[in-house]
Amino acid sequence: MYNKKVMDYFTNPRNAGKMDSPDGVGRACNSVDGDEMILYLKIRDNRITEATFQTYGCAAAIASSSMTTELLKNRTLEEALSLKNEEVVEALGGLPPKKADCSVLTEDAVRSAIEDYRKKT
Amino acid sequence: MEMIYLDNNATTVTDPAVVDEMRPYFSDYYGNPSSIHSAGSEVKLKIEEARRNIATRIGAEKEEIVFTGSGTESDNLALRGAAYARRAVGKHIIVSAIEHSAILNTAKALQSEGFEISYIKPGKDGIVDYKSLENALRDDTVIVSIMHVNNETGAIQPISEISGLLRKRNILFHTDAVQSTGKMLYEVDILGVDMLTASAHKFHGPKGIGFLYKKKTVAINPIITGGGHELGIRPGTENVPGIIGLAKALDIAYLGHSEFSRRMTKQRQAMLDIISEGVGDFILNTPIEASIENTLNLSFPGIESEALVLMLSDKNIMLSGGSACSSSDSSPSHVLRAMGRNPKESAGSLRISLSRFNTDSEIERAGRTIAECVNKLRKLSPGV
Repeated sequence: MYNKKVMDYFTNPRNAGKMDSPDGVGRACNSVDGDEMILYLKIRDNRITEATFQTYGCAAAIASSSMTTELLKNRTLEEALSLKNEEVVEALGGLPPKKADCSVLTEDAVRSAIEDYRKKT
Repeated sequence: MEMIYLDNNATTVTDPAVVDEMRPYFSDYYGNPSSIHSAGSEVKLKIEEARRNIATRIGAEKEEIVFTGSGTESDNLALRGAAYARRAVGKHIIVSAIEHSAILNTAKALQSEGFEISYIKPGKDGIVDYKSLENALRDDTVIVSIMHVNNETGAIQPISEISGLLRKRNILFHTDAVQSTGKMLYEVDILGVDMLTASAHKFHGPKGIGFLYKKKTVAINPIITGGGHELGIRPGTENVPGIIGLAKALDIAYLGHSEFSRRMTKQRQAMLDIISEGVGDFILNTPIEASIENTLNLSFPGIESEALVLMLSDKNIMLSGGSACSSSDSSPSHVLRAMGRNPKESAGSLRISLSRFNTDSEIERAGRTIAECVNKLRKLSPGV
């Protein structure tokens, strides 16, 4: 059902878990299936230096979250905000059609985490 | 690591003894049972012998067994066949909310054809309350269909009590016994049903063969048209190897039932103990004292079953979340929802279904791995 890369990011997720003293925290929910993602960011000089996540959802949601944290690293906040769901799916080598929506959490989580950071600073 | 298969309510391995029994009916005895020459008539004798053996096992008569292609087909034949035959009498049908989609979607289709459907909910234990069935009965109720054993939770439904309730009235009673046949000993007279659905591949028989028990005094309409096979109720050349395999599988199941029951009880308890030890909080969805011994359904709030099932599959352990038919989409189980579990509890369910081919060491490894994966996924999750 899923390709090898998705299974790898799901079973060995990179950057999983809560972050100690993050600079920005974003939360996103998918009202349709109840999926939920929390994104933690460390930001230095307008650039993301670290990103971790916690996700409640299917394998596609977890793999997408993990891939997002990798794609965010070293991006400026503006570059991070332009990260599209399609880019995450592409980096994972594609998701089954039924599961394409399971990655939409990530865009919302990035926006919410950067908003949180900007509010604090 | 060798595969551990714990999804036996979805399907089972065909017993090698069943395969051996079937083999000659592909290559040697391949005549059409309807042919009058000896290549056909000798096969006809064999399938009639199989029919008689199956009937005897469940306390029915030979003429009351109609072979079909699947449990789904038997359910369709029972519900549609009876509804069409009784259309002039009434248009009200009662089913439980926890039926398999073979019944639920057939009921839905009948509704669009002008029938009225009432759904009976189970209690928190997953058992249908026959008092609530009594309240749903109407003067124009023609059919009631309640499954014998639920495929997701393993809960045994009070079929004899329900039939007692219906006996005084002129209402047909059908039970989907797909999950009980070959795992429980029953007799149709004691269950008190007019029709009963069974499928071979759930008890180590082949796929593509099932039967509908239909009391001979009950008339139903065929749902496909063709020749006069199966008393004209289910036309189509008989699946001869399938019929032979079904009868053999049922024989083995009946002869080994007490051992099956003992073994499943022990292994299920061992599984529950290992998981209880390894996982802090979970919800038991199976009413242990009133369930088929091979089934254990648990909910792990905070994780989604799709993720858990795939993580276990990656470790070569095969299980399902809810029922197999719903694993392709992640909609929470309709059975658990009907039992009053909230969406997140329903979404985090795992169905462990054992068979007599599972070993104690498989149970141990699987139990420990399930606990491991649940804990891993919970660490990934934002929390319950």
